[in-house]
Amino acid sequence: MITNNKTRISVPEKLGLSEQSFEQSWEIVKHAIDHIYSDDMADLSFEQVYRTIYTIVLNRKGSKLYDNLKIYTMEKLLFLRETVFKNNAPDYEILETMAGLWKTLCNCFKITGDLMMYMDKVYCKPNRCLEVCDMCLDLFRIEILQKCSSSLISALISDIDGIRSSGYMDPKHTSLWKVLIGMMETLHDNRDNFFLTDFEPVLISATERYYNNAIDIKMLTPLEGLEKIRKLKQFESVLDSSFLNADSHNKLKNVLGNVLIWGKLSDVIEDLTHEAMKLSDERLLQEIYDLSGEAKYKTTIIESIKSYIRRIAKEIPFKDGSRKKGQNAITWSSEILSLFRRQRLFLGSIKFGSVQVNSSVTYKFISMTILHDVFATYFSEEGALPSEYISTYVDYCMKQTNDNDAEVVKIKEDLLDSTKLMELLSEKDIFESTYKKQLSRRLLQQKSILEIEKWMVQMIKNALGTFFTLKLEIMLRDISLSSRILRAFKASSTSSIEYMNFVPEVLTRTSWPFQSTNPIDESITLPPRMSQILMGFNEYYSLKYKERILEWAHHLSVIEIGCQFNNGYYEISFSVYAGAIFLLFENYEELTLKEIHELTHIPEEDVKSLVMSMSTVPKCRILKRSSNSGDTKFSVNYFFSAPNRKVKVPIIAGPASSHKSDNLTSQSSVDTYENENIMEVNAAIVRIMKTEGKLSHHQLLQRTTKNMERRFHLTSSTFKRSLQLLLEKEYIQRDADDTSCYHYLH
Amino acid sequence: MSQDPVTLVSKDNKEYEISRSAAMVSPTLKAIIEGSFKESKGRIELKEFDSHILEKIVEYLNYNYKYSGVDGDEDEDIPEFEIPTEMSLELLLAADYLNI
Repeated sequence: MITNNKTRISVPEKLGLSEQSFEQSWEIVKHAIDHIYSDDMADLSFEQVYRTIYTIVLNRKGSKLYDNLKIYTMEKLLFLRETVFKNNAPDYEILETMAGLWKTLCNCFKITGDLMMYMDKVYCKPNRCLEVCDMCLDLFRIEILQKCSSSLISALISDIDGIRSSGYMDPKHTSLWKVLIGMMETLHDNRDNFFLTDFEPVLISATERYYNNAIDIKMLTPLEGLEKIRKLKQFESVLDSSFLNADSHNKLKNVLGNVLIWGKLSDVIEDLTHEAMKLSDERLLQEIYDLSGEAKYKTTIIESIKSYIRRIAKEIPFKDGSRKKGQNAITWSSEILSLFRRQRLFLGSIKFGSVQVNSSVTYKFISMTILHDVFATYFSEEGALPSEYISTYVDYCMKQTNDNDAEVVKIKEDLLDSTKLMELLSEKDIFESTYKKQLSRRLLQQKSILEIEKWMVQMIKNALGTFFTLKLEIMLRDISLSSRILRAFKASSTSSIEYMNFVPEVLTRTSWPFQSTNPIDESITLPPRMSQILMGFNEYYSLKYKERILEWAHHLSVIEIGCQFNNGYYEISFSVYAGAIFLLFENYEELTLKEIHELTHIPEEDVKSLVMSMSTVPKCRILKRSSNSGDTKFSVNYFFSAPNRKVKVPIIAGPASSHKSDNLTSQSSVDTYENENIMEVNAAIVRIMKTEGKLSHHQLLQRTTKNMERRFHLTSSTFKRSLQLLLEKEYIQRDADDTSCYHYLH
Repeated sequence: MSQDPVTLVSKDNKEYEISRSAAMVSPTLKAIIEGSFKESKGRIELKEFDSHILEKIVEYLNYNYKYSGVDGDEDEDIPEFEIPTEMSLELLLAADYLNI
């Protein structure tokens, strides 16, 4: 059952002043607005105005009120614009006026908006028009900002420029700018805010213009220029951050970078980099490097660094062809090495970030890539000499080694760094062959410590790969093996060799850099005691290794003889030939050259030069010559004396060339080297042609060059010689129709 | 701005005191208080409303102010706001006026 007894809902009486006409109400609102704009609201009742508006809106007169308000506000702004702004006012005054007006009006708009709150809710939202406050702001934009934009912008820009050139950051100005920019960012049309659309582009171009004119880099030294740029940049950065948002600040930073760094600094960047390198000032270099994030800029710097190091490297004297070649090599190498180290240390401390460096190799660290590039280019420009020199340097270091641990550590360090340079050599084959020769001499003459030699070969292996050190390793192995064999031999031997110290060195022929054994070795007669030992060893060895053939290479050997002269006891080192001759005088008082030849079977020419070296060289004149009746005779010079107990008899290169193979002269080394090269190239060409069958000259050259790249630089003459050789031997054949084509012949 | 309570005055000149922050729950009252009009002195005349309505309004403003900070999930402690049926229409209008 439904109760009739409903609760009575009291109907409120009609609210407010509904009896008032719209015009009357509008007058109240207008009156209120007038008071608001003149900032005189103390006597105004908010509630009354609010209620009036409330009523108007309630009576569905909202749109009329809105339109009236719009027109009235517009009139107000128009009036203000015309009265407040003066013509030709100074820039700063314009800015101040504008900022002041903006602040006041913002407040007015807000209050108006508050009063119209009800209208916002009931009329504006459903009708999709701007809320009152925003509507007013929009009017402000149209009526004031746009009308004055050009004068405002130019005033602002010139004010900013003024502060820039004064170099002093006036907080009064910057805070004013901040207000204005805040205003610009608030006001927006349907695209974007005024700041972005109208002001920012102008600001950026103005900044660009300003800094373009601000500094003339050519008038300053590179360092001064940098200093100046640094200051400008810093000032601008502080300035910008005081009135701009982060976004625009960044944009300006970029502009600045472009103008200052690219436009100005790039002219002197190379000098500047060189300056920093010269001063070894890593902080400065780092700073220069970090000035711009542009990859192009960084690459320029890296190139400058390279050119600097290259220049320094070129300045290191490279005395080729002068007499003291060994000395030159050592000076040059140690200087190059120290340059390399210095730069490695220096560049190692620079943070390069990740930059794409134009280079054939990539290391983990850019500094290494830079050094690699510089030194590799430098070495390849200099051709074969660096390879020889570095090898000579290693030779020098090796000979310096002794049992002093501290020094060994230091030398090892030198050596380790020199392997870094070896990697960069363009003519690695020359290095290898030179190194091999020098190593063999060191080993045979026992000039260095075997352990260190082994270690060094290991290091070279790490740097250059197994390929390069294969033969070197065999050489070292031969030496160690020999000493083991010797121990075994001594233990097994019963013959009386106690008074002679015999050190055989059994070498694998193919691995050592000697072309052949000397033919005279077969025939010469050694003193009976020596040949006895050799025989004994021969027997022992052939028992132990049945299928091996032992050949004696006397020309590589050294003999040391202790001898009592009138003035004291001396130990004299000879080549085996010279030793054999000297030992003859045990049995003979005097001998002529001819007699010596007959007794030893050493070719007469050699006998002559050997005897000459023992009788004429001042330091080791152990033989004396006496000529009577036209026949020159030689005998032991018992009055021989020398400052040291150990005396070395040098070999004077006579006209006979039996010693040429172990003479290290540049000419012969290059010759051998070239022959070896041609062999390599031949092999490479055959390999390529075998797989391809037919190739044009150009293609073949390219392929071969690429193939040989790792070992040496293929010159076209070598290539041609090799090709000629192969054509002659009929490995390949020219095409009958196209002479620039080759076929592989099976 | 002072933290004094504000006084709301009804049609029949009854005065209701309410804390400033509670009054500011209503955007309309907030605008009135924060503006520099006559009412900013702390006395707001709301001649629209009878005293019993205004009383209820004050009650609601306090209620809303008290509980608006509390999370809705902890509902057990938020009591219902009692609205007498016969006042509902008048309160509706008042709410509309005060934007609450």
